[in-house]
Amino acid sequence: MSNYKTVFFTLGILQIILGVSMFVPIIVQFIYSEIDSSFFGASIVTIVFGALFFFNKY
Amino acid sequence: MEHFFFLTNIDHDRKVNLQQAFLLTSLSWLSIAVFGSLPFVFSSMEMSITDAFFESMSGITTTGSTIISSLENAPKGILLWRAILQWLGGIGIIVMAITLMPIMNVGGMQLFRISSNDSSEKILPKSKEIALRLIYIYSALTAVCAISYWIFGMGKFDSLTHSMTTIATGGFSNYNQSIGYFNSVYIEISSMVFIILGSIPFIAYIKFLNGNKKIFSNDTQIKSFLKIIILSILVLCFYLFFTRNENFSLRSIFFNTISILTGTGYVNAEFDSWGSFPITIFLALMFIGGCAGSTTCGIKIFRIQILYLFILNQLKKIIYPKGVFLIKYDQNSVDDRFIASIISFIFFYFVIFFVLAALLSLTGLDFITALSGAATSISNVGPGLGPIIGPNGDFSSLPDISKWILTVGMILGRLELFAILVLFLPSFWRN
Repeated sequence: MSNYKTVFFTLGILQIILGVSMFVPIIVQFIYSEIDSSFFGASIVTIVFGALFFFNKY
Repeated sequence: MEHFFFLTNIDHDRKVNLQQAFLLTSLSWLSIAVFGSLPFVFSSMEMSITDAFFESMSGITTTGSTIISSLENAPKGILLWRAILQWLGGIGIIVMAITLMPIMNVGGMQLFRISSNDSSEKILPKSKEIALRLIYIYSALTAVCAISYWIFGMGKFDSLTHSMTTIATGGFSNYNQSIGYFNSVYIEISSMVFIILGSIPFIAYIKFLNGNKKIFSNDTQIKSFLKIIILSILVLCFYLFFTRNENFSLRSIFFNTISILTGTGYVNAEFDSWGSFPITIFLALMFIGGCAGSTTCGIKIFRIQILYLFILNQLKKIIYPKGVFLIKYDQNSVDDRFIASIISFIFFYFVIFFVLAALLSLTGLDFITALSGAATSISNVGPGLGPIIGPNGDFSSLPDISKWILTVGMILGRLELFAILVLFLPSFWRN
């Protein structure tokens, strides 16, 4: 698995960035009063998985 | 998304080899499609996992096919998320095509190697520099596109989302009628201009900013791309004019030709009712696609050019059997290994297209839906042909299994086939 350390590390970064970018639609949800937990929940799940990849110890 | 590739440079021990480059390319697209589908699943639209994954994959691969049948009633957050996915997919594929694909030697992309002595170890620092410039250029074009849409009458939200999907040549719109909803010549002209700007090699912008002011008029690929647009428009104009077709409209011909050739997928008319000849032309345009190193999909202009030169060479060899004829592309000699790479890519492209079409027809789809569905997914265009998935249709009514087949087609087409197919070779996994 050590061969794939860099792959997991980069995937982790990508997922964290994707998770953070999910906060942008939340702003739009506020503006248009469409607030629900969809983007917040999706963002948390994505960032947690991203962090797991990022800090992998293989 | 490979523009974040340079971040691996944080730790100097982290370097990628060829195997990791392939794995990273495939897994990054797949993981973004998986996690990008979560907002669709969690939203008030309560999409099924199949539908959410289809929409997400369609977004990140800049395909533009949608399963949302009533876009006007969709939440604004979801509409923006679709646009963000396409925007990220657009910049991701540009950076990948310029930095990773050449070292992966996929389908002749080695032609666009930054310098002849690039190795996988050297690509990281160079990627950082190029990726940052590409992000600036891509963002600037998006901003200018948004402003032009806003000036010509779009609302602020529509301007933002449509500019993101225009420059990515993705084609997601906030309306079922696509860009035709606005019924504005100026918006359509603006859209065409920015679709073309998104369809030319982004490395040309960097060269232009570095002082090569004639790059746009000298680049072989750009010239051929523009010639194909003009030729297609002329052929359709002549056909529709001389057959006295009631659908003859210069505005529709220009817009839909550019949109389909570049794989954008915006529509302003139901072009599938123009007759069988225009449908054939549009199907051919779907396969051709835009320039390599841009946000567009399809076979790509440079492969068509090299195939043409190869066929011309073969004809010359028939006339002069003892003659030696070199193939040159953009002042570079093209060797047999490179030509084999191009021909095998095009061959596999059509093999996979026919396999997809056959599988789709097995799921119960009619001939035109199966054929155009396969073409639109592998070429990442967006709309297909026919009453179900045509210009004003959507993919919601397709069986789940058809949607999964289409998503496979989308990722295969987006990652130039071989980047995915190579993972299925047992030898790939051996050290």
